[in-house]
Amino acid sequence: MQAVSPLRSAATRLAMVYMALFVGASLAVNVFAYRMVMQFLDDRVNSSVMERYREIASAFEEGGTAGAVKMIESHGPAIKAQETLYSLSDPKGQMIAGNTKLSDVRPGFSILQPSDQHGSRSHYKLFSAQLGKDTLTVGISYDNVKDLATVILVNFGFATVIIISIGMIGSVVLARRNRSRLLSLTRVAHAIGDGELSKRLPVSPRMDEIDILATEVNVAFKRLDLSVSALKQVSADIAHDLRTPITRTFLALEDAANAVSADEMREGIEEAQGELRLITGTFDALLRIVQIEARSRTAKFALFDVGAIALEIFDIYELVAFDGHRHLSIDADRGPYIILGDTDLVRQLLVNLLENALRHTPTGSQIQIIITHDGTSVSLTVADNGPGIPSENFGRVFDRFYRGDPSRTTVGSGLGLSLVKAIADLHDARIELADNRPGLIATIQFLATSKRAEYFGVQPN
Amino acid sequence: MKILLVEDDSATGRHIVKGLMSQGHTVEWLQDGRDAMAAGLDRSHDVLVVDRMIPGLSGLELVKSLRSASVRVPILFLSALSGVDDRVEGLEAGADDYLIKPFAFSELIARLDALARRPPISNVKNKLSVGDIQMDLVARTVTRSGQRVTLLPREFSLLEMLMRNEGRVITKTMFLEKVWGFNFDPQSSIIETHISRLRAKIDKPFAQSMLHTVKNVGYVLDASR
Repeated sequence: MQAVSPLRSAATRLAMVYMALFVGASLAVNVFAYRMVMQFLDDRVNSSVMERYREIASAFEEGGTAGAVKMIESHGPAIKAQETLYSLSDPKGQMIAGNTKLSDVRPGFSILQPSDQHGSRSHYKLFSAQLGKDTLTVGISYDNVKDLATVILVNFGFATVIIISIGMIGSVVLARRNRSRLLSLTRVAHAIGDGELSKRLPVSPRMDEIDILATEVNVAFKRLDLSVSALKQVSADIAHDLRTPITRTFLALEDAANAVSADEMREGIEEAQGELRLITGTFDALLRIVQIEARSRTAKFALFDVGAIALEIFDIYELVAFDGHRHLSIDADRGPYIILGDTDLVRQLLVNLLENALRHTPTGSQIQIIITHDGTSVSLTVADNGPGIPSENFGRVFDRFYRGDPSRTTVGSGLGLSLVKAIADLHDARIELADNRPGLIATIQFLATSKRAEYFGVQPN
Repeated sequence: MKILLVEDDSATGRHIVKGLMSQGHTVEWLQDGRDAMAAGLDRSHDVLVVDRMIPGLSGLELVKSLRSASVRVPILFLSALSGVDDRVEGLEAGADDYLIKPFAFSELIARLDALARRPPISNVKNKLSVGDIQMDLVARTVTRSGQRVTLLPREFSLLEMLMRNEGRVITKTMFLEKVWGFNFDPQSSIIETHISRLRAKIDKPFAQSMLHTVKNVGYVLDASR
């Protein structure tokens, strides 16, 4: 089993990509927010500078330069604290009133850096305009805004660090969870590969894409499990069922080897040959069943009349039955009975049913082939009035090597009806056994042509 | 006749060669598909017996290649592949007959005889005759010593096959394949039943019997026995 390193894990990669995107997005949002806040604060400082300026400007309009000076001086505390700067200068640059001498300030808003003044380390927002011939400059400390900006930046920084940390932890957790889930899937798949075919991949109730995949894979594993157990069953059956004829062959050949006369020897060899023929027949029948079971469904399917096939086989077997002192009849007069299927295999199906009836009925028995059809199905029935099969054994007669006679001394491989079942299954036909009181009724019900054609997507011609 | 045997299993090969030679045939035995291809292209054999699973070139490929090189010699597949479709596959590749292993040697001989002496397809006859039996294939009537014998369709087919292979043994499986179209072996003795009916009509009323049973092998129609 190959373990993927955490760095190569698809889940980790995905989490990393998502985190990078997330951090990028959060940075963009932060920058945008920072700019908005700064803009807003700047506007507020501007408007309070303007407010101070207008106060003095309106005093000037009412009382001229003296009025303006008076208004400036009335702001005593502010003047001392130097939170607000005032400077009213005459055209020659001499300060008439105010707390700080400010010259060469350009009209409109500007910023006063600490380096441009003496004894103050504060930033100021200035507004400067003409009052008559004099120049009035008002300034408000900008430090609050600066501090606030710093706080905001630090905050944003922290936020980004927190986002990255949460993202990192989240992606590690997610990747680890995904990894452990996939690891458990891999472990189970490996176990199945090692032959523990009964194991299944874990499926959570969430039914996400991994669960759907696991469900599908489980279905495939189940089929594999079934066919492997079928194979094991067949192997065991072969080992068990062929042992008897092989033993008989062995004994017959031993007899031949120890024979005292040429005739006795020939007898032993012929007996061995007969047993070998039986063994070969069993192999052939088994192989046929397995191949039919493994066959692709529509491979050799064509439309044909079951009635015609049945008549042909009746024709062959009528005399065989007669010679064996049984009576064979057929009822297939309301044809045609068209089905879609493999002619050769359906022929063998009917032959096997007939052979079975001939073999398991006493002389004097009646055997009937009956074919009927309705709108949806064509039924092929072989009925006899022999001893029948106890209904509790109906389910088992199609098992490989099943024989009513447990001593297995009767002729036949015990595979005839298994082959019937394999052929019926290939045709999606239903097998039904019933009690004929006395006797056995075996019915194979094929889907009618139109239905089957629909089912297999074949156009009837 | 001259037979080319392509079989990689030494024991089986030796056995077949010995058997065929005791019947008076000449056998060339090869174990590799490619060697067999070269030998087959000589066109010096009367019939080819080919195993399907051989080294070099598979039996199926060998037959296909020979046929595409217009080699028309009769070919019989001798194969352990006995599946439903294996036979069809073999015949579709261009073989004339398909015999499944294990096989009875008499079965192989009967089939090789039928293959090698098969009349050319162009030689279509309307009438067959063996001894005093006459068969009209168009009118589908049979007479023996001038007397009309009424046969059922399947009895007619049986007799036709026997007459076409006059003097040669036809095995039960050959009948099953050719007359009944059964590619499987039913347990019941359907051949015995039908042959005995045919015999009752064609042989019993007459002084000389022509339809003979060859024990454990099959049946032969022979006027001279």
